[in-house]
Order: sequence, then C-alpha cells, then structure tokens
Amino acid sequence: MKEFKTLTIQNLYKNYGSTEVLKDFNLTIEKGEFVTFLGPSGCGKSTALNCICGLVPITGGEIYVDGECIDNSVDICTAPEKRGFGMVFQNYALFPHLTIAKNISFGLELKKMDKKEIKQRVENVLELVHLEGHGDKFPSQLSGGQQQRVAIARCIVLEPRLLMLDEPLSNLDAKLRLEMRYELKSLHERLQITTIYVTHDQHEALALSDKIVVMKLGKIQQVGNAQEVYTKPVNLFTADFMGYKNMWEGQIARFVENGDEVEMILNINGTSIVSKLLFTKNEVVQKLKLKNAYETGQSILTAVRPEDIIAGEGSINCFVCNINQTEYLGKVSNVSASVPNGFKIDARPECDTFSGNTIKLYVPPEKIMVFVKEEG
Amino acid sequence: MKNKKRIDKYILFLLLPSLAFLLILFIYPFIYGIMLSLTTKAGQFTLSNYKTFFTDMWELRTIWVTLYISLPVTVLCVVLAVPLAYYMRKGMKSEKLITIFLIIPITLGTVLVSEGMLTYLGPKGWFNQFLMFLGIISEPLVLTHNYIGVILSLFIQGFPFAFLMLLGYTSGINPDLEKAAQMLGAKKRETFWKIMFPLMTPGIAIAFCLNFVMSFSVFPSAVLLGQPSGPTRVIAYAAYQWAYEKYDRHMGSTICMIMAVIEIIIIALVLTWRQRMYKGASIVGKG
Repeated sequence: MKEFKTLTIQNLYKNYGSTEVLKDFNLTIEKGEFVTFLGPSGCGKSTALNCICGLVPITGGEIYVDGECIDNSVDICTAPEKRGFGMVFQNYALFPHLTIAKNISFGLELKKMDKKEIKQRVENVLELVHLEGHGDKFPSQLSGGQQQRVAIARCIVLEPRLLMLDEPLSNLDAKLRLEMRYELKSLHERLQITTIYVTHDQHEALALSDKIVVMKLGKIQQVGNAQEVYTKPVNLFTADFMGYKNMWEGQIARFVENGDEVEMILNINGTSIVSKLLFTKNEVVQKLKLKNAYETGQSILTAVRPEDIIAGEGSINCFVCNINQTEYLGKVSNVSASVPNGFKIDARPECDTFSGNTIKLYVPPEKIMVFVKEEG
Repeated sequence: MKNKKRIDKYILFLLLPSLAFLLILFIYPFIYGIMLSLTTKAGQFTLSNYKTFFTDMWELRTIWVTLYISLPVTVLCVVLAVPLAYYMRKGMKSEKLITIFLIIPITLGTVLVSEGMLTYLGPKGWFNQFLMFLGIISEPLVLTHNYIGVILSLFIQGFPFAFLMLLGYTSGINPDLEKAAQMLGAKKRETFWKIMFPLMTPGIAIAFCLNFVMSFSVFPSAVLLGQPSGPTRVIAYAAYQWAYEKYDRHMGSTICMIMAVIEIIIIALVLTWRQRMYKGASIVGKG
C-alpha cells in the first residue's frame, strides 16, 4: 500500500444512540509521526481509533488520506481491509488455532503472495521482534510479552501505512511493560511507521510520542508534543492528568502584564500567593481568559507539580506547614501537608530536607499554573 | 508443604458421593447389561444373542433404519444451527423471544410435542387445510405416521439443543479475532471460513455428538409419529419389543449394547474430525 504524507481527520463525530462518544475531533497526522491518544477510560480514545480504521462507522465528519476522502459518514466509507492500516489489539487477538508463523502469514496469504516470499517475510519479521524459532508454536504456548510481539509482527509484516496500537501494554506486568515500551520505541525508530497509540498512562505517552492528543469525554483537550503537554497544560483537566496537584481555589487580586510575562497575586482563602507566567503568542487566548477573570472576579484554580515545590526558604510563597502524611519513595517522599489557616499542599521533597511534624515549603512563582474555574 | 499435601489427600474424599452415584446408577447397570447380553436365560455364557441379532435381517436392518433417521436429522440441526448461532453471536434485540420459542419444545417433552404434531400436521390438520385453502396442494400431504413425521419431530426437539449450545460457544469467541482478521485484509467470507469456523468446530462436534445420541436412541417420536411396524422400526424400539413384549431381557440388553457401540463409533469419528480441524482453546485467556 502506498504510504501517505498526511492523514487528516475533520469534525469527526460518533454517537451511540443519543450518547456522543466523539465530539468535533480534528487532527492531522504526518508521515512517520508517533501520535498518542491519551485520556481516562471512557474518553473516546479507543472509539477514535476504531473510527479511523473503519471498524466503527462514523456519525459525522470526514477522514482524508493525502486529500483523498476515505470516509465521510455519508456515501464514502472505505472498508477497513482496504485502508492499509494495521491494528494491534489490547488482548492481542491472535488466532488460537493457528501457529505463530500462520498467524503472521495470515494477511500475506490473503494477498495470494508467493509461498517462498511469505516464508522469507515471516522469518524476517520474527527476527525483528526477537522471536526466532517460535514460528511453529501456538499462541497459548507463549508468554504475554511474546504474544504481544507476535501481534505487532502480524501487523508490520503487511507493511501498513499506519500502525494502530490499542493500549498494547496494559495487560503486561510493570517490568515487561517498560521493556516493551522501549522496544516499541526502537521499532518505531527503525521502521519509521506512522503510529497511533492509545493509552491512559501519561508516562507511556510522554516516553513514546511525537504528538500527544489529550482527550476527555469525547473532546480533544490539547494537542502538543510531550514537552508542551507536560509543561504547559491548557486546562485543569490536562494538568490533572499530567500529574499536577495543588488545585487551590481563589481569586486574582492583581494582574500585571509585562510584555509576555504576567505577574498575578492570587488570593487563596486569605493567603496571598504570587504567580509569574510566560505566555507566548500562541497562548494569548489563555492570557485574555485570566485577565477577564481578574476583571470580573471569577474564581480560578491553581495547579503545581509536587516535585516543583521546594523544601526551604523563599522571600515570597513560603509556608510553614503541618505534615499530615508522608510516603517514602526512596530519594524523595510524598508529603501531604497543610498551611495552618488554609489550604493543603502536596509536595515531593528530598527525604533529608525535612524532619519532625512541620516543614517549610517554597512554591516558585513561575511554577504556579492558573486556570479559570469552569462552570459546572 | 507437608501439611498442604495432607489436605489435598483428604479433599479426594469429597469425590466419594459422586463416585457412589456413578457406581450405582451407571457402572453397575452397564456391567449388568453386558452380563445379561452374554448369558442365556439359564445363566450360561453365550454369544447366541448377538448371533441372533446379526443374522436376523428384521433386527439387523434397525441399525440402518435408525442411522437413516438420526444422521440426516443431526446434520440438518447442526447445519442450520451454525449460521444462526453465528449470526446471533453478538446478541440481538429479539434474542430472548427466539430463545423462548426454541426452549418451549424441549420443556414440553417429546410426547406432548408429538401429539401436537399429529393433529397439526395430520391429513385433517391445520397445516394441510391451510395449504389446500391456498390452492398449493389438492391432496393432503402425508406428514405423519411415516419417515417425514419422525424427522420433523426429532428436528423440533434437537434443533434448540444444537442452537443453544452453539450460541453459547460462538458468543464466547473473542470478537476482536474477527476484527483482527478484517484488519489483516480478510473479507467476511474468508473470516468465517478461516477463523470463525475452525474455532467453532469443538462446539459443532459436541453439538453433533449430543444431538446424534439423542436422535439415535429415538423412541417416542418413532412410535407416535412413525410406522414402528416397519419403515421406522428403530433400534430402540427393537430393544423395547424384545425386553417388554417378548420378555427376553437378555436379547433386549444385547440390542442396547449394540446401540452403545454404534454411538461410540460415530462419536469417535466426529471427535477425530474435530481434532484434525483444530487444536487448542478457542477462548483466549490473558497472556
């Protein structure tokens, strides 16, 4: 199948009865990219995958491959087997009655390929996924990780122009998951197959992706590379999903613009906190939202990563807190503490920086994200 | 470790009640039947019972008569149940209704269903009346007291069994397997023959065996809806005649043993076919 340059999804909708599972889904995928759909269960990420590959009919919108429409929900709907996409299922979906070699050659045989070439290709791909000599076994004789690799081999042997992986690592134990993650990455680097990866694990997403699509309740929240999504979440949901904590509710008491930089004084339950944020040209909308919240007195929520909070002194944003609970993690500890007359702080200081029942915490102003509290 | 082994040993005692039942209700009667078939009324060892059966054409032909009824019915049941079960594997709106309709004949029992069919399909029955009213036929079709009557009755009894068993089997096959086949380029037909059908074979084999055993030992339908005096004198009826009309329990047991052997041969053939089609478990567990 001919490779594509871009895959474009426009205004994709999917309803099951009256439930909207996907709402206004827009995305462009470039050749060779590793794209991850990230979100909690029920956010529509698997549905999006099934819509793109054609296993699930779409309710509205269009899908284009290099400008050619392959699905428009009305009169065009290319059959899944004709799209040239490969899919690895969460439970691997290996054919239990066929040997590993037969599983892998299944697609090639359907193409009526020459027997000799099939054999050669199966051997090559088995080598690629480090399963040489397992060809005559049945799936049930392999371990979970090996089955996973067979499932991937079965797809890539057909040289799909798009490889889709639906939570491929979720059935593996923690150690194997890391190994397979590494292997997936190196496989992608070697073969340069355009890949869509579905997961609910932000670590997997960050480690693997060129582009992360954060989803919630069928809507895309944010699209960006790993660094963007990690350091600049556009809303509270993404922040929460990327590991931000310390959501303190309050108001903006002062709002000073200084070029791209904005300095705000936040009033959290009577305590003043300073936040200093940089907004680039692309993020003007968010700056305006905050300005508007300042003028109308709308509530805001903060978000700070626990690991960004420092145990020690500071001239501002420094609090002496009572420790409620600690979790020993080795080098660092999870500390759940509370400011005497107000809010709770989750921090992750190094273990040797505190002792006793109180801790002094400094929250760097540039690490405090501020989001307008949404209605409802 | 030692302790655990001792517990395991004691657990075996829990098997005793079921073993006792098996012994009293199956093994003892079975051995007793074999003994009966191999002895004369005086209690002497003999093979003459078997000799009588295999030399008397009137008795011997019951084997063919019974196979001629039971094999087509079984094949028909399974062949029709496979596509229906395949079609309904993902569940559908009217599934409950269809299932109820199919279960009713089983719950009513053979005799009641046969009685109903006698009236309904008889020369003066609704079915013939209706066809004649439509002008499709001018003479009533003979659907009772013959081969067709027995076949129909056995089908009504056997089809639900085959269908329900296969439905349970097909709906247990991981639906992602079909999607995977499709993603690998298989069309609907190829997916069915290369993936679904081989995975269904264990279910098909079991459904076939149970249905066959049921049909092969047919008795009430053959008597009520057939012609037990000849064309549908099935092997079970022959055994009944010897044991309870001629009061020769030795000969009756002999025929039962022959029945058992034939059933075992057919089942062995079917299971061999299944073995060739497919090894392994169709419902994939986790890795």
